[in-house]
Formats: sequence, C-alpha cells, structure tokens
Amino acid sequence: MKKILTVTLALAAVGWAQGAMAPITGSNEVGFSTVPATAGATQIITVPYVACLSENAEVMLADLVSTNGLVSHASDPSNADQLIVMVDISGDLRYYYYWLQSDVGWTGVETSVMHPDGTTSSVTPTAANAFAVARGKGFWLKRAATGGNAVYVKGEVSGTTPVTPAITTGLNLVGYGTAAAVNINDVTWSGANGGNGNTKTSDAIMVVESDGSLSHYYYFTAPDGWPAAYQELNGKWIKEDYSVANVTVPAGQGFWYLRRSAN
Amino acid sequence: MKKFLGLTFVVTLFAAVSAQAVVIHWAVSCPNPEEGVSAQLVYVATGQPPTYTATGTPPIPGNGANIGAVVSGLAVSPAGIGRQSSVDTETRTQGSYYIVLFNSDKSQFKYSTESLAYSDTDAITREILAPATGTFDPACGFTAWANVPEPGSLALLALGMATLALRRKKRV
Repeated sequence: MKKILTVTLALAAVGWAQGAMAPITGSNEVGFSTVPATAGATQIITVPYVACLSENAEVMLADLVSTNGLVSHASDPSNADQLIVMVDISGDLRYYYYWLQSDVGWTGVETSVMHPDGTTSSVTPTAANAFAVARGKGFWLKRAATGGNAVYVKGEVSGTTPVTPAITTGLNLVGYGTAAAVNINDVTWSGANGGNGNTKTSDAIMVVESDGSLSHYYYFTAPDGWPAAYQELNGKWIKEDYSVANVTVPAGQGFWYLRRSAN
Repeated sequence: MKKFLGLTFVVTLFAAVSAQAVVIHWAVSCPNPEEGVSAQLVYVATGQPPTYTATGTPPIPGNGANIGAVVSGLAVSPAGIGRQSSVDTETRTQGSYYIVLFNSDKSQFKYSTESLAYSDTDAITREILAPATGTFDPACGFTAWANVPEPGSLALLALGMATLALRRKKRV
C-alpha cells in the first residue's frame, strides 16, 4: 500500500513538473532539396540553405551535399562522385577538385597548373570542411558512372531572402538562394546588362541540360525605336532566336552567369 | 606495366577529349541588315572560303559543311545577328569556320572575309567547365553578293564542257 502511494506521488510530481515547464520552441526549419544530377555527367549545384542552427554563419563545402545518393570509393577518385569548386586566386580562376572517399569524406586532389611561361605549380585545395561557400554560390558535382540521377542538398532554411551573390565581370557560378524551383523570367534581376540589343553584348545565363550540354539565355533590353516585336521582349531573358526563355531551374541547381560589364 | 597503364590512360583521355563536340559562338554585329537576310555557319577543311555549286534549303557549300541551323527572323535584329551557339559534332584537326549570309530567297550569298580557326579557344569551347566567353564576329566584313549557281545552269555548263572535250578529242 505504501509502495503504491509512493509511486502515485512520484508520478504526480513528474506531471506537475512537466506542466510547469515552458515548451522548447524554435524557428529553425530544415531544408532538403532533390537536385537532378545524371550519372556520369556534371551538374552545377548551389545550396539555398544556411548552416543548421547558425543563421548567417558560413556553410562549409563538406556539409552541403548529403551523402544520401552519392557514390564513394575507397581509393579511386574516378569511380567516386567529385566536387569541383571555382576559386579566384588573385584574379586567376582555378578549380579545386574533391572526391568522396569511403569512410573519410570529401578529399582534396592536388592538381598541376601550367603557367603562360611554361612552368607548372601544384595546387592543393583547402580542406572541404574548412571551405566556406556562401548561399547562392555554385559549384560542380561530377557524378560517377555508377551513381543515380539525383543528389540532395541540405541545411537550414534562411530567414533572410533574397540572396545577393556578388557577380563580377566574366564567368560566375551562382544559383538562386531559395529552396524552390524558379523560372529565370520570374526573378527580379537588378543590374542585369542588356547591352545594345545584340545579345553578343548582353549578360548570359548558361544552364546545364541533362545531356551535359549548355543552353544559353541572354538578358534583353529593347533599344528605343525598335519594332514592337522586340519591345515585348524588353527586360526578359531570351533564347538565341529572340524568343522568351521559359526555363525553370530546380531548387539546388546552379548555373553559369556570364557578366559582360557593369551597366 | 606501369608505363603501359600510363599510356592507356593518356590514350583513353585523348579519345574522350577528341570525341567531344565543340560549341562555336558567333554573331554579326553589323547594324541594320538587309530585310530577309539569313545566316549560316560553315566549316571548310582547307580554310579557303566556301563555294556553292547548287542551291538548296539551305545551300550546302561544295567544299565544306553547314554547322547548325540557319539563323533568321527576330535573331536578325536592327543591331545585327545575336550571339549563336552552333554545335559541331565532327572532330576537326584543321580548317576554319566562316559565316555565310543569304538574301531572302537564298539565291545570293556572301561570306565573312575573316574566318575562325578550328583551334580557337576564345569563341570555341569543348567543355562545360570552361565555357567560351568570346564570340566570332566579323562585324560588317563580308564579300559582295554573289549568285548561288542554279542546278539548271550547272547542267548546261557541264554539257558544254563535255562537248568541248569531245571535239578536242576528235581533232587529235
């Protein structure tokens, strides 16, 4: 009888304590996106998320792509998925290569670079777990031939949108910083350069297709006095035949942005 | 054995690279082109200008090959022909690319006085990791309009030549 009373009292105490405790709540929302990436092909990936539980903190390359769906190998980089990141070293654009080593993770590959004077030097990539990648920046994923056709990017959904990645003159690897597929003509592009109406002078977006080819789209601003057919294209991304581009980029997929020059 | 493996790797790599298609970027930044003008990128193995022996849709050069589709319509804007990306699936080890313009009924042509070498790395790209940022653009540098020979006149010319040759043979 005494024992039953003790147990009842203990349960009542726990119930009271639980009732008195403030619930733990948070605004953190974890994001997980599927990105199409065909086996044996190369795709541009961008991560629309920030580091978990650390809003505005830099995300490290090693943490960006989920291991789910990726192909690793114990010793052969050519049979494993690879990450390729473009870096600007004193104005010189180069690639850092990483491969997914079994039980190790993303491992840097030392590469050799030939200079204009014929000399060579080796490039050692920054460790993937120390390589910060800003939201909206892109990098390449080269799939192993034995891989599937999708990979997953993960992180925490950012509370601050939109993202404004710095785009410099020349080639940039970028992406749209939200966790949703986006039509390039539904985005507000402030500062995009439409040139003089000839797309040779315009900013360009290049999207990787599933067959590994690049599709080119150009930003168009119609000069005054041009026929009405061109005025309808004003402020839009267009195809090479000067028709409106209807292109939806999946969440997590990036693209090349070729910046001609500032407006 | 090690040397063999190394050689195999190099050969495999070369085969992989050489089998890749190339993308040639070109444009014509010549303002106010004539109405109805269309354009075609052409490859010529000798590097010499393209020649036409018969009409077609589009006309096919006798000494080369058409690369990509004919460009017309809105792409021929008041500021010239916008930037194009034409894919050449053949592996080239020599020769040049020319831009050929055709009049509205494709009975006349003119070609760029400047050509693009097959080995150019500014306007031609082989891989998506390093897309070309340049453009082959001869601006307004084109020859005068010339007639594309029609099949009928070609047949007459051939008949005339054959008759001439036969008469010479008889004299001998």
